[in-house]
Amino acid sequence: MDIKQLSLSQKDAADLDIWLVEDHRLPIINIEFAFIGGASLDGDKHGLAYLMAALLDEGAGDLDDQEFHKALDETATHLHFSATRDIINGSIKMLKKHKERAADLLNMAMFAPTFAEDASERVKAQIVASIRSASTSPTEIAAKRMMKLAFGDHVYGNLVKGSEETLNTINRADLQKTTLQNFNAAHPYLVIVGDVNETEAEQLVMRIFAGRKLGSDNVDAIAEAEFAGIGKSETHHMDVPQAVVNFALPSIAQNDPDFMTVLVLNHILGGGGFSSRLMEEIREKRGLTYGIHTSLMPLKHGSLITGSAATSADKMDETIKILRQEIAKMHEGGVTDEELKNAKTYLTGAYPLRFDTGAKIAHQLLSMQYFNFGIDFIDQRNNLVNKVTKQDVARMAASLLDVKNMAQVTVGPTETD
Amino acid sequence: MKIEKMKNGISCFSLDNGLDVVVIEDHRAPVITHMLWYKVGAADEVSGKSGIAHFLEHLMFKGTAKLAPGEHSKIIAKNGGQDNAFTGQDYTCYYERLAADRLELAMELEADRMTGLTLSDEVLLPERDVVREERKQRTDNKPDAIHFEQMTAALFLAHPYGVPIIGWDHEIAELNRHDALAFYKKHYAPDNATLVVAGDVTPEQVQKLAQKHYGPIAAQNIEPRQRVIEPPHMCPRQVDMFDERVEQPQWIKQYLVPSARVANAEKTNQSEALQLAILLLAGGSTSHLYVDLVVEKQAAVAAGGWYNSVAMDYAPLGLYAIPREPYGLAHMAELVDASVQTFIKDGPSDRAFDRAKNLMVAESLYARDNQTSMARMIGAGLSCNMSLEDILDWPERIEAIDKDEMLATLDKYIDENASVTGQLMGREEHLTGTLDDSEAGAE
Repeated sequence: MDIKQLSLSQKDAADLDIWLVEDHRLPIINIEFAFIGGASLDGDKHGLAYLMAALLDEGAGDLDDQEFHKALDETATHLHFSATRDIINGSIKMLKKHKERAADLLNMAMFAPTFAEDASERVKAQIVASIRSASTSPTEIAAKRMMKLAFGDHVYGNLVKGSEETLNTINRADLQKTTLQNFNAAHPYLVIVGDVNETEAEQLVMRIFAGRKLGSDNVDAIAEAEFAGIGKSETHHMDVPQAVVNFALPSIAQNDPDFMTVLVLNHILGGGGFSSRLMEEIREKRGLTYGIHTSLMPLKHGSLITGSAATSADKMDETIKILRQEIAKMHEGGVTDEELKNAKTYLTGAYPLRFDTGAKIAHQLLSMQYFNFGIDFIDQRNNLVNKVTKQDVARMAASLLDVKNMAQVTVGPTETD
Repeated sequence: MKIEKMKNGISCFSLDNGLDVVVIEDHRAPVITHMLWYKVGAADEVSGKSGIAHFLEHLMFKGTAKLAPGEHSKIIAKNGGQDNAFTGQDYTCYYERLAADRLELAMELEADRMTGLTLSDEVLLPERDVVREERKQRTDNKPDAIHFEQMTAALFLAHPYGVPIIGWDHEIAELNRHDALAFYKKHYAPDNATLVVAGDVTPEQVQKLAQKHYGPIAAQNIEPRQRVIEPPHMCPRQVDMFDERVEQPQWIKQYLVPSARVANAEKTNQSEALQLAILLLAGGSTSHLYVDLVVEKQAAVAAGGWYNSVAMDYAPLGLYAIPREPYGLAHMAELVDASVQTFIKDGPSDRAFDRAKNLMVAESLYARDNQTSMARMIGAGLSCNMSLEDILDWPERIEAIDKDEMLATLDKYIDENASVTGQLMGREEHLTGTLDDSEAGAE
């Protein structure tokens, strides 16, 4: 894949580094971007960044909320913002013939959002409705409690969507402040994929970022997160047909030299679907659950290996017993040569599947930028996976998979029912 | 066996044993998607055996005369591929995503299990427990999913679409090896399947490999599906559910509407008219219903609708609203009905009408960026007995819709007697709201 690196200077703002992949086979353009900040800048007003992201297309510049949505529809532009614990993430998909108008709309959304009272109240009510729906879902409760257990009082333990109470404390000034802080962040990440050449890409970016100011590097504002969940477990009683368990262990950062080893380890433990040990032991051999999965959550200031499963209340004890046994077994004995070989052929062979659409290419490249990998990472990545040895995996399993450290949350009917 | 070239890099041919093949060329990445679609789904189950189509889909990963249980997926994974399957009311689909040079592997494995399935109780019984846990996870643990299942059962008086795809739990619990093999033998054959291959491959390459692997499998002379027709719907139905787990009440209404397959077979554009109508009426934040209830009256937190037209027989048209305090569910029926009637009477502005058309046509261009979603769209349509021409001509059919024709079609199908209204609530207040009725005089 031919990735071009462009750098643009902007008056009174930091340089913009852009990765561009030209693809002229369809007249469409995908742009994905991210700014360090997100919910970690919320302070006590949990849910601020999430609300801000939801309001950016509800009126901006000289357009009110309805006019803005109509302008997007008229040009068939898909614009989406989201807030996570570390970043504000945005993506825009546009038709080549409407690219200037689409760029202007994006510019207005980021640098001149209105935050009108009625739109803010409406979107707050929508977020509150989704919080209320989630408040009775065992899956949602388990996931929410796990973040609190794992990160304690660190901002990562807070609720990204906030709560009814915190949302009600948010006013227009808060929204404006966090918008400026996020979108003027010193180092935005930006990828363009599609039917544009270099000159057109540069013009488009200048249009999108017109009026940007020199902001700070928000990354320094957040402390490193210690894993606060060492050996902790919680049980929440809930009268539902099926109980849910979530578990977490501390992990390492995405740009740590051992990350590929942990990627392989997670694949064999519970990340690899039907080829994982947990799926084999808990679903395939015993039929205890529809699915048990683990995944890596590499946050900027603290990373986790997390997992979850759902099963009938009377099967939960057995499920947890086997889950803990399997983690302990890998902690002690690592993995076999065959497991390692199969994990490598899967992870390396499946890598191209992440690049078969414009939107997926943009997303993958943005993630590489974000974790400070170079543009040659795409060519090196499979070599890095292939270099992982059985000893590496055993070493990381010994270091990370100590069940005594595991945090665990169960939600569902308790034994006394 | 002649390859017929259609538009947008799509071509098709059939093997002598009746297997239809569609190739979607996309040479941007060295990747292929191989999807084998059987024209059989949950709606083809015999009464009392609900869930067998979906259960069989799980069991198809449990080994053949050549492969041990689970080996299919393990071979795909070892080759850097991903595989899975899904079941609908009208189809069952098995797919593999792989590097382009491994296409033959997918064909070899998929052709093997078209006729080679072997089953023992040792693998079948734990898998049945897995499916029952799947049902709990997808449905029983979620009041809104249970409610929707009950509403859908009430919408269909006779047609099997009223039975959930995953099946009723008490019937899943009794499904056995005999049921699975009988369903398999009756429905799995080349003349009841469609192969869709998308990605970095030519139709000539696909034809050669398909002939080699699928070609030797004998046709079974499968008879076309015969489905029952709904009797006239003579009165509206109401399905209300109280569940103390519910913190967020919601209001839903479904109407019985023909699918695109039925409308196209009758040589009408009624389905496309309804697709356009539902976008203008209830699709997103500029739609008539959203602006009316959410933005202007501020009676709802959210409001919208859907019409998933791809089905053999019927495709329910749905509307929903989530009341905003102090309004309750009881206000929604009146407000939504009034809003729909205003839309039918006044219609959208010409500008909004053109905007909606352009948007839908642009979506078909965006869809071409994704080989898997293209394969899915075409495979699902063909498995519902739509023609490839009708599927590919969709943008032109949308362009051709006239505004008055669209409104007349919507008016025809917004038939109260063919509707089910559902209210999901956790307590009395969700129903009534806290609105003082003297100030509720919105009309």
